[in-house]
Amino acid sequence: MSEQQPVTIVMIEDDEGHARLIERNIRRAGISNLIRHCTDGTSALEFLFNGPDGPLMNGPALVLLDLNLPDMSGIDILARIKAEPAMKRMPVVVLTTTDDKTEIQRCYDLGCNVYITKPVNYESFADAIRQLGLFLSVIQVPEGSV
Amino acid sequence: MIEILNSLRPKDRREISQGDFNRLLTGVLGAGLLVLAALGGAIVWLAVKTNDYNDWVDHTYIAQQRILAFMESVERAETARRGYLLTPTPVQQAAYRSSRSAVAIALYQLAETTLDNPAERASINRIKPLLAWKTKVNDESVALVAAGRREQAILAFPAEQALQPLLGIRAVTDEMLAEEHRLLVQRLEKEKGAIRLLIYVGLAAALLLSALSLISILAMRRFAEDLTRAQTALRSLNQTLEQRVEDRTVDLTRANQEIQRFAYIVSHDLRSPLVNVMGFTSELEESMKPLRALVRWVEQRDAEGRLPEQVKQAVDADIPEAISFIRASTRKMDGLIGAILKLSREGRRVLHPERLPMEALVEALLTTVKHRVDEIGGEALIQSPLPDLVSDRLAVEQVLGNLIDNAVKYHSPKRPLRIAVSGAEANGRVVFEVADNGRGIDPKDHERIFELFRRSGVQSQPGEGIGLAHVRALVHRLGGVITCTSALDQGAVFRLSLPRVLVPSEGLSA
Repeated sequence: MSEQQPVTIVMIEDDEGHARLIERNIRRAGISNLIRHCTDGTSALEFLFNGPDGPLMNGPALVLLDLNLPDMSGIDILARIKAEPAMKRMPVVVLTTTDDKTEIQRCYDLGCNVYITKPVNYESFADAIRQLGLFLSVIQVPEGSV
Repeated sequence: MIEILNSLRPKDRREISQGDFNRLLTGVLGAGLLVLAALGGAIVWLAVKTNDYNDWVDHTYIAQQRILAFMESVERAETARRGYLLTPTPVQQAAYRSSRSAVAIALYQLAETTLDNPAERASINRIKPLLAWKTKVNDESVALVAAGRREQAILAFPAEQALQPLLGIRAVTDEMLAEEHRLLVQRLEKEKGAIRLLIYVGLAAALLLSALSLISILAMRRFAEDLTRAQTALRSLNQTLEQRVEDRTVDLTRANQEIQRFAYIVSHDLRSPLVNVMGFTSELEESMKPLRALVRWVEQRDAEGRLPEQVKQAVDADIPEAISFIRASTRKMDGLIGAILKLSREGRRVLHPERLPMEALVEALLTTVKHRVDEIGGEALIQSPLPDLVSDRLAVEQVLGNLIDNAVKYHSPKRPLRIAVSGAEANGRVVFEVADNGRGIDPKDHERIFELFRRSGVQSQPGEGIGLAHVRALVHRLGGVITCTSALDQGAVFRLSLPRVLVPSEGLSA
């Protein structure tokens, strides 16, 4: 009865290098889900809320969110997602360079599921992404088919 | 009056009035007082004088009285003699005798009273022989009656020259009376004059006193007005000053926030590319693995040695070396960015002032370095008492901890380490000193050591040049100042001056 829908990974990341590194590590961790890459906040919101293949119209998704975007703060996007009833259960992973306590606190307050600091130390970064892969395989719950 | 004058001379409030006015006022009041004092003296002198004149007038009255009394006694003696001649009774004789002595007494008293007046004295001298003559005639006539030769005495009466001295005496006493009258008129005139003068002087004094009082009152009013004006000006000045301080504080807070924000953004944005450099370096390294395996594989099958030496050199040495340099540099850069981020974050932390028992706090800090101090050989101690203060515990701990750490870190191997923490309180501030006998700091570097990423002296200890920059940033946030006194190889003293009570500024902790 319930057809397993693959989770789409929405990566909102303005830095192409970071995006590439994240993607490589996700792939290296054995995750083959579709990755949808947005490079700024506006296009990300457009995709999330109005995209024909976005999470509102289509199956489950997971958001990888960078906080430092050129056109807006990732926090605003996080708030918008969590304020939308249809999307508020969608997992959001905040990935950023800050390890500022107050900012982390704020993200969790807004409903972020995981907060990962982009480390310069590449090994631990890869580790974090791999853990994210585990997380991804765990949350493959078909929300849209209920 | 003097007190009023003193109070009018505001030596210590020169700013409320012009010095010229003060000097003028003092001059006028001083001169007025001098004149007033002179008038007072004149009044006393005049009163004494008037009293004197009064005494002289009284004296004149007495003299007049005594002249009349003398005349009366002479006339009475004459009457008594005549009475005895008419009725020669012992009673009449006794009456004559008593009147005779009364004349002597009256003359004596008169002489005594008029001693001061040479003219009257001369008159008395003229009376004396006349009186003696008269007395002699009287006595002869009385003696004749007493001897029973009454008729002879009566017969002799018209012939006798008894009337002649009497008339003489009368003439002289009339002169004397006239003289006394003249004196009386003169003295009364003098007395009146003195009294008139007294009234004038008194009036003048009263007028002057009123004038001086008026000037004093006006001056006091003027000073009071000046004072009020000055106070008002001062108050408004204070208010504008407060406003200005507030404005400055707001500016400063804004600038500070801007710097914090700037540091935060810069460190963030610098970190972002660094993630890439580091990440792709790892990717490169990852990619090197199959490449290296390929080279090994080719090597094994390459008996003729066709594989160029440069390829092996690149894969085995050059590329790994390049990667290791990139890694070392990125690691260092990450450290520096982390330091900036830490500073900026420290600047954003909200301060929580609380009462800090400084001896316990410093003791705890010294305990954390104890094993290192023991290793080096030396001592770290508190010079009690340390004044307590109200400030942010974490910040104060970090500042003093950093200073103590530095003292341990930069000890001199030439002598056993000695660190002393002392403190004193003055003018609402507390000053702590962390003194060591370590290797010291070149005086030209005393400012430099507080700058970010700057270090001084032999670079024998690990560090990024962050500690003291952090310390200074913290001290500034705590409203304090930190200075350094040191010379190379002479140890160093870091002097930390903090407000005794930290008043958290909202802007700075935002």
